[in-house]
Amino acid sequence: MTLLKAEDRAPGVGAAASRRTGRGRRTRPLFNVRGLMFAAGLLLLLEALTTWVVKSAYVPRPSQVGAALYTGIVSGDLLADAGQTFATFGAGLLIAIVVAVPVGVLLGASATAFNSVKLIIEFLRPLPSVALIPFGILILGVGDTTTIALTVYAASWPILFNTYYGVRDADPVAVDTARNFGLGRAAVLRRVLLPSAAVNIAAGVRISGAIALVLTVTVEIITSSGGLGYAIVQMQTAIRNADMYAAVFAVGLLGYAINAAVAGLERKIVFWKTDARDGGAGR
Amino acid sequence: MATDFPRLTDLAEPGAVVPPILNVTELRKRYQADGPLVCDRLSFSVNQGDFVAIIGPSGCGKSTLLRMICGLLPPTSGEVSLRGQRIDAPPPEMALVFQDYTRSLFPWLTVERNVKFPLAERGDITKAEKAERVAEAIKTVGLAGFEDYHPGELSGGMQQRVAIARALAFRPQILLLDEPFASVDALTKEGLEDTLLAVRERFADSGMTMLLVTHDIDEAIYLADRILVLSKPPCHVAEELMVDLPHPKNQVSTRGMPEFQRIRARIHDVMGLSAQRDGSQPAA
Ligand SMILES: Nc1ncnc2c1ncn2[C@@H]1O[C@H](COP(=O)(O)OP(=O)(O)OP(=O)(O)O)[C@@H](O)[C@H]1O
Ligand SMILES: [Mg+2]
Repeated sequence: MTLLKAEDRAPGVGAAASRRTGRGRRTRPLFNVRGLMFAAGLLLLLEALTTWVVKSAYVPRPSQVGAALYTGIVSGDLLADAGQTFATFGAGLLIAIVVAVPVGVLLGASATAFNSVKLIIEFLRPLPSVALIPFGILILGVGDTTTIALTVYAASWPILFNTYYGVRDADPVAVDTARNFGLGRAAVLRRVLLPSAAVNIAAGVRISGAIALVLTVTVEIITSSGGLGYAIVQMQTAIRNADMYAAVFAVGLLGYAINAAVAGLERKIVFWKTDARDGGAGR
Repeated sequence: MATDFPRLTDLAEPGAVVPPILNVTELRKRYQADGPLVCDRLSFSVNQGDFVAIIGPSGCGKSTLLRMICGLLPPTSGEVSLRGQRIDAPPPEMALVFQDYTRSLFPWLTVERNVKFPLAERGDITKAEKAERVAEAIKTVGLAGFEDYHPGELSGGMQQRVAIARALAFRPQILLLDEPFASVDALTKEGLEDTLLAVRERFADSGMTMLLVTHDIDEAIYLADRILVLSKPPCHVAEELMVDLPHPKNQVSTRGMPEFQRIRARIHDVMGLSAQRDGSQPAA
């Protein structure tokens, strides 16, 4: 029954993750000043190291990478690659949500359904998604379809498990309350279990977002199917090291932006997250 | 019908012709097959319009009993019947205000939507009536102005009142309350007690029946027409007391009446006695 790997389970759920009281305005600074200053210092240090200590053509200076990034952006090449990667990633994550949430709800609500598929899940779960890349190419060929399919596969698991646990661990008192007011199984599922699981689902999507990006870029690198992943390979083969690092940096930026966007959405959608359950209001 | 239960015959009102609305018969409950008995041959009946208070020491099985009555928890043996029909699923005529009100409210819904929850998808009530019932229930428990708050933004006592309002908006024929005033201050509590009496008065023609579980002996005497004192676990009805206090009740004068004091002394006596039988500390 230990289906859930530690990394699948949302770290913040139930813990004192971002506390928000629906009414009070959160005061989150727009910029993390200290963090930015530290990053700038680190870049300067790297710049100094690559200028005076490690003088290698394979290790470009941050300023060179910055210049390459700038050129890539103004010429539109890097933006186009990033756009393709983002589109593939986005399609994969969306499909994963559409597939995994209903399945997770079903498994969480029905022990019979869960027991039926448990064995298959236990078998498929430990299979690393990248191991399926050759299989994907064989079946679907090289291209967006393969990339999206593998991204869906990898991104589905955290959403599936978090939804499953969210539904299964829904507060029995809340469920009884709904039953007491005459709600049937379907209504309880829709009006209590699903919103209860929203906290976990959102956390699952956040985790899956990171995984989906990794998968998308990996498949792009391996299959040379385009996007930032392909750009990295291309630049590496052409020994355009600064451009290669610029593409790598772009992946990092994309990942950061995606995570920030998902986390922001999460705070909006499941605003009650830490409100009621742990408050000192109960008995 | 009621003659099936010899232990109750002497308690039934003389000349009562209307069969009880609720019959609890020889109820037994174990949570696990090899676990301890929580309720043991619990029997009583409730007439339509009755206000019955249930008191008993903590952990004796009061919440368990209420959950069995409203069809949320199957008894191990015995049965609960509503108008002669055995209950095995939550009947639409009943509403339970859970002791665990924090967990019973939906944190993602506002106060207004929480109160509206049981009505929201009912086709037999018009939209206007739903809105009216919700507004009225919220006002009744003194939470007007807090409609748009979420439960997490309210105090414990306020949350408890939202749970009460929700049950009131549902307008059940039988209202079950599990220590509904445990988290409110003494003054608010007195207000809510009178609210409960007023609600019952208002629905007297439709005959709202109330079952109130409480730790508070005075509250039981003040509110109820009949008090069931449960024994220590495994619980059964240790004593059944009729309360004959004049209506309308008044927080000051009613509590000062000799009859009030007499019942009070009697309950202390019973609870002390049932504790002594078990050889432990007297309860309450
Ligand atoms: N879900 C459960 N599983 C197992 N045992 C339970 C469960 N719920 C209650 N019990 C047991 O049943 C007994 C009675 O519990 P119950 O909650 O009915 O008591 P109570 O009279 O309502 O107490 P209190 O006045 O403190 O609320 C307790 O011994 C408790 O341990
Ligand atoms: Mg209880």
